[in-house]
Amino acid sequence: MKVLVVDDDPIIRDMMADILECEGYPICVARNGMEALKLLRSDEHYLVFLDVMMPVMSGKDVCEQLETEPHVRQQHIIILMSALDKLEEVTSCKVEGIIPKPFVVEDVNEALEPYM
Amino acid sequence: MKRLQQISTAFPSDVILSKLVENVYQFVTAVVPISSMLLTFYDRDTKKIYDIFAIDHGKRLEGLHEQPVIAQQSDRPCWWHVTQEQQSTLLIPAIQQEPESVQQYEELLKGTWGDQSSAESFLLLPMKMFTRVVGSLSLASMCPDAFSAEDILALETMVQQITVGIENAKLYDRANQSVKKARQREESLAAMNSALLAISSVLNLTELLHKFVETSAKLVQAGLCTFFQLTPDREELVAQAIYDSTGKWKDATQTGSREKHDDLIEMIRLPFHNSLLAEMVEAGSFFYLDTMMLEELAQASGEGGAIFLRETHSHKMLMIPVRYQTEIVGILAVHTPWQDRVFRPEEVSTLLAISSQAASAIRNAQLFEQIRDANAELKRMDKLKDEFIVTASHELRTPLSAISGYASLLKRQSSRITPQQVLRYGTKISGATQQLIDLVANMTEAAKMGAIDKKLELQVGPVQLLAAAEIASTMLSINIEQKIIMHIDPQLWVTCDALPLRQVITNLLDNAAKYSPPTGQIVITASETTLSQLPEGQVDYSKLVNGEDPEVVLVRVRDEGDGIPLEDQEKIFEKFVRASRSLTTPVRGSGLGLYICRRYIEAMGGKLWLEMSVPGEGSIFSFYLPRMEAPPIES
Repeated sequence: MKVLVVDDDPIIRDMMADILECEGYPICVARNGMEALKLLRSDEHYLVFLDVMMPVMSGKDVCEQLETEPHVRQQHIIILMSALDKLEEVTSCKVEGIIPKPFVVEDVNEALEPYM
Repeated sequence: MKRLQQISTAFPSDVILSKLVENVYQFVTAVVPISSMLLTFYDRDTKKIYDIFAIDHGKRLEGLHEQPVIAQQSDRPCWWHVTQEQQSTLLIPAIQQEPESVQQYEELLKGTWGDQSSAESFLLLPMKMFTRVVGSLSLASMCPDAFSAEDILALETMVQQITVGIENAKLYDRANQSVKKARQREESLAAMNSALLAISSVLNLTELLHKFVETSAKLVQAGLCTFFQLTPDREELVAQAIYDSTGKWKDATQTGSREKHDDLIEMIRLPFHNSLLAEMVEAGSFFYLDTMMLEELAQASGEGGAIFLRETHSHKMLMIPVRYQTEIVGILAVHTPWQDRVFRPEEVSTLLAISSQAASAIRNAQLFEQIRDANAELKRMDKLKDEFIVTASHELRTPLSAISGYASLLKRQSSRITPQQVLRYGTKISGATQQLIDLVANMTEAAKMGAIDKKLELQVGPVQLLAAAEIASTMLSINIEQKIIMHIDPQLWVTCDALPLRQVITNLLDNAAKYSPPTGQIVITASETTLSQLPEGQVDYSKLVNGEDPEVVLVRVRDEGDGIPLEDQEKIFEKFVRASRSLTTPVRGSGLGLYICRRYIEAMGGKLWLEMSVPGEGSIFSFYLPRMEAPPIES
């Protein structure tokens, strides 16, 4: 299973790459929900760190879209990255996990461990 | 004597003139053989002489008491002399034997009652009331010596009687009239009072003004009543409300909706500053515009004003300045088309009273609307502030995430990581810290700039654009993946403050980078041009007067980003505004960058705008600044 980091901010993408590299996971990135969907619709299985607030297509929109495509949805594990004070806005999303922003390395590892 | 008694009982209560006159005639013909009779009154109020009853050789002049013959004192010097000065009975017993008296009294013998110079006897009895003479009774007879001393005495007594009767009747009539006047005054006061109440209770300005003109017109039965409001610069008077009882003016303007109607009304503008209106307003509490003034004003007015002044066909327009305390709010114009009516003093004072009441009501309504607008603006600002806090906290969160993430990574991996990794993580942390510092700096800077109309303090001097742009690109926040291409002639110099200019360029480059894909290019170009060559809408026409066309340098920053939604394109320059985007689609930045940039560029005599934005292709932000020649190189 590959790790996919979806975030519009290059700083966060870089950091996730640094963190996951240290843990020995190869990663790929997408800059928004639209780019992410393209990757998710392939045959590949992903563990996705999905940011909520993004231009073009938000993390929430991706989740809603995937609910209409169950065969795509079941291929992947989705972990939302949401602002601490916005958690209640994403509780309706059917995802495997949520980590708050700002986060530390341990948050990422904890979210990863059950699946990798 | 019996008849005399009859008269004396009949007169005091008998106030109907025609009846009284009839009684006099009956009495006289019973006493003396007369052929002609003339009854004349003198009214000391109007100072006029009225012939109200005349018999010419037995023939009655009909309708005289309804429409008497009116004369002035100067028309009848002889009559005046006999009745008002001598105040005694004049008898000419044998006219035909005294040709000189015919000549002397010709004025008395001829006139309303025809020519009596062929009569034999003439008698004039002054109607005396104490020392005043209120009229006279002239009698002519075809018999010589027609009036015996006894007859004259009886006639004098009768005249005395009717004089008292007439005076009583006049007093009665006067008392009656003043009661009637008082009642009318009371009615108009009541009407005014309810009008004032109606006006004072309205807080909506438009409705208030319509009520004001309608009530004013109705109180004085004027055809047309218009309220003109003085513009804040005191240059013009703009019509705000018209009441038109004739319906003609309304028909001409009421072609569409109420708003359209109001728009048309507002086209009626009269000049105020330096016009005769300003002079007249200074001079008194009200005034009339006559034909010449109306024409003078029409010539100084625009089309709407001229049409109003000319086509309402008035030669006398009553103008009442509406003042709040000493400050002039506007003018109420009252007149009836096609009429030259001069209003009665009571009507004018009614209009003055209602105008002064309306002035304070208008003031109240204006204050109320100001407060309402200010309230709405406060609410808007409040909402923007809320949105700003949301955006700002999101923006703060990104560098905080990086700091927190990398710091925890350093801790966790401290025993394993290479010095290169430590350097990399450290750089990231300091970069994110710098971003935080910039954000906070931006916020405090915008706060320091204060209100939009506050003048910024700048140190303006010659600045080489290329140098400014190069420094600006080194000041960019970290992690710019895109390539920055500069096409700037080193010979281009602008007049401005170097620091804000660098800040503006940095901000525009930063924005461009945030929106562009990592592989995209950011191109910054500069060209020399003149003000009039700039796109329409960006030209400051006030600088193009006297054939001048200042040289400017136009700077463009082009990115290959997502573009900006049309509805956001102007809003992005506002303080705190992050346009209509929801939380899930943030725009990077504190929402203050472009606001600060525009404030600086405008303070330095230029303009900043979004020149083009195409979704998926990119945007071009442009600004210009005054150009200057490259200064000589110092050795």
